[in-house]
Amino acid sequence: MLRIDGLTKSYGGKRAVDDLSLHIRPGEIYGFIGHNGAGKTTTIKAVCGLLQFDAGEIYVDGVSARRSPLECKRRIGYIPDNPDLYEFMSGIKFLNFIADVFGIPSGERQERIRKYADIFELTGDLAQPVSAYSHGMKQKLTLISALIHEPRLMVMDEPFVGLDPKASRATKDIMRERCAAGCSVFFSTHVLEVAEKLCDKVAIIKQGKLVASGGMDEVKGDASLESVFFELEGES
Amino acid sequence: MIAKLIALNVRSIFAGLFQRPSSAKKRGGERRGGLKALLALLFVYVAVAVFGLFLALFISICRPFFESGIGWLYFTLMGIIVFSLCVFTSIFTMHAQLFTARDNALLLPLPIKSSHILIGRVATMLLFEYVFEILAAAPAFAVWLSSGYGSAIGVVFFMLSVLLLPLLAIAVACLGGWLVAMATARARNKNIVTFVFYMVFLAAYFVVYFNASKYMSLLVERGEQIASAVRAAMPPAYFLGSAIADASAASMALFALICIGAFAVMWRLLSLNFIRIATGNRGAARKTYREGRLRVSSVRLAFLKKELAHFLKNPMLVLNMALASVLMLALAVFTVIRRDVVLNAIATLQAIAPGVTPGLAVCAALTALEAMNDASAATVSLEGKTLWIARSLPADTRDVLMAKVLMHCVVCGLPAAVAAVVCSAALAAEPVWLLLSLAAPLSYTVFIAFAGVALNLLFPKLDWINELQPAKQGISSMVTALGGMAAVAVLALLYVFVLSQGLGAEVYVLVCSALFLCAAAALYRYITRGGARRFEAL
Repeated sequence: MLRIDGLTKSYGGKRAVDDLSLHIRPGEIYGFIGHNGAGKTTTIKAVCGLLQFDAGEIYVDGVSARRSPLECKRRIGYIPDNPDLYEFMSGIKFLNFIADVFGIPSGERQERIRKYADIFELTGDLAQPVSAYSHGMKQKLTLISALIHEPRLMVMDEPFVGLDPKASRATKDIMRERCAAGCSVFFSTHVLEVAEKLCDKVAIIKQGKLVASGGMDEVKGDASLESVFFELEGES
Repeated sequence: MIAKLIALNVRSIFAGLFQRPSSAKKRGGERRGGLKALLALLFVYVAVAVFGLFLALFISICRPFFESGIGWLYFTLMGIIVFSLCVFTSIFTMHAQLFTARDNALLLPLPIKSSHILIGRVATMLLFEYVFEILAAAPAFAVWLSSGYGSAIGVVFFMLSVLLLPLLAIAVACLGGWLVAMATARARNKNIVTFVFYMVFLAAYFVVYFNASKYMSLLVERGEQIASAVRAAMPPAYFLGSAIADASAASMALFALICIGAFAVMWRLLSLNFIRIATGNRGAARKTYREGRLRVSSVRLAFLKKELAHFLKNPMLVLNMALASVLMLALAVFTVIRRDVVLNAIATLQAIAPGVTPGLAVCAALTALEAMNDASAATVSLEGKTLWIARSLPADTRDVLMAKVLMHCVVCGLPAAVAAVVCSAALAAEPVWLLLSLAAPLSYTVFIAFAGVALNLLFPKLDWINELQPAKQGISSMVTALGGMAAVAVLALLYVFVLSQGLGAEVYVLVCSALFLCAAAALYRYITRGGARRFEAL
């Protein structure tokens, strides 16, 4: 579903991501962990077409992100690390705008908005302007907007930040549901317990380089993900 | 801490002017130097224009006033001008800075006294008010001294008054900003409330502005009568004038007392209420969502609707970047209601330039007004932190950028078209001038729409604290607005002084319209190629 080959991105003289390669298959939940500044967000932004990269290639569902960026974006549902949304719109207008851009027919968008807004208990607030939303509500709205076109690949940068426990659990359920339907989820997190319980596979990035990747059991063995993470980071 | 906060505010204003996309930063300081030079040139252009205007005014009234023994009225008038200029330029900025600034939430939790945050903001505004003050006070001072009416004590009192007057102006501006904040805090539709506040304020300003020459003649003719009326009605203004012109220490003391007193009272009120207003719930009354049928739009229409919603939901953006659209509609209404006044004005013009017809006057007025609009010039900057949305969606960058151009065309072109038809019909303009009154302003609108987006792609300002920053302080807005006005002025002067002998006005307007469209086509080419790549790299 997602193949990253030799991705390299530098800012000035510093290599934020250095020859990174990953392969995520359909049906997999893939966790991406690393310290602040390790290169997680840069990788995610490159996958979502928000960042032009220096070298390497990214394929989403077999489509090259470099050659067909719009085709890739159509297959991706992206959750950024900060839910900065159009504050001049109401929640429902924002979702309708996103649905317009993805070309979702009227009936389907109505049905999906109803479904996900109910799951995240946001239905009653959809007429409110986004400017009146709390951080958690904005995060929920971002999640709904990323799900509205039923993406093949969900790319999420710290998706659980700001969510209440109920919404957090609903998000995990949706992630599993999407994967059961043959889609994939690629997400970054600092909460290692969540990654350990939720992910089929995990990748650990350090100073732009991948230091470990593979099946969860394969990476952590009998130890906890936390101890493996600190060991690989040289902080055990 | 206060100095740091002031420096932060000033730096954020000036740093924003020079913010460049990351891709452009690599190119070194050469272009940045050019940008600074261009900006300096723009500031000089505006400053010289305003300075010249006031210089002419003070030259015309200095001698008559002093020779009639009402020299104090000269400085009273200067004080009223400075006061109006300072209040008008800062009342809504004060509202935005004090009560709706995004960094209130960032600064309030820090161990900084709220009074220091207030001082930081007010002092920054005060600095800018001193700059505005110089534009009117310096010519008044120069004319007064060169006319030989000055005295040593008068000069000292002038300096003191110049320092004190902005305190009174900022107190009134704070009061105005506070009233706007209080009125909008609980309003269901605060945008309309703000819009109404602004329009009332603006209407009052225009009434004074358009009657200024009448007031001037009255001042010169009936100076003494007016002087006694002003003395009774506006004591602070009288004390200011009397302190400088008559070197009156008592008037100086009273004026100082009023300025400092007003500032102190306002400061106390703001200190007591700042946190409550800054942290108050700014949301309108809660609306309950009722599921209804959702309208489906194409990608292009969706982005156009988004741009329109963004622009029109903020009345400050409309009034700063598309005020002329409101004025064009007002002109249309005025022409219908007061046709005789408009025809008289045109007849006065015909006495100077016999070739002016009602149709030509409508065409010229609408094109000149259109030059004041720069709605598209901050549309890229206004994406701010939400830039990721447009960039992560499967939408062609050209469609995203063209929606910004089209927004300008709708917001600025539609009122121009309505005004052209209404004014031409009301003044019974010739059919050819009706068409030209549509062609010239609309082609110019299209050109400015493209120019604004192109310039904003070159000079984006994405890290603003409130939306007015890119609109008022962004270099693209300044260049678009001032460049647009200069272009129209140059074309008009070129015709009046060079081409009018051999070329009919109809042909000239048509040629200009064609030129605007050609320039727009060239800018379209840039925006859809290099501009789109630049947007993708922001």
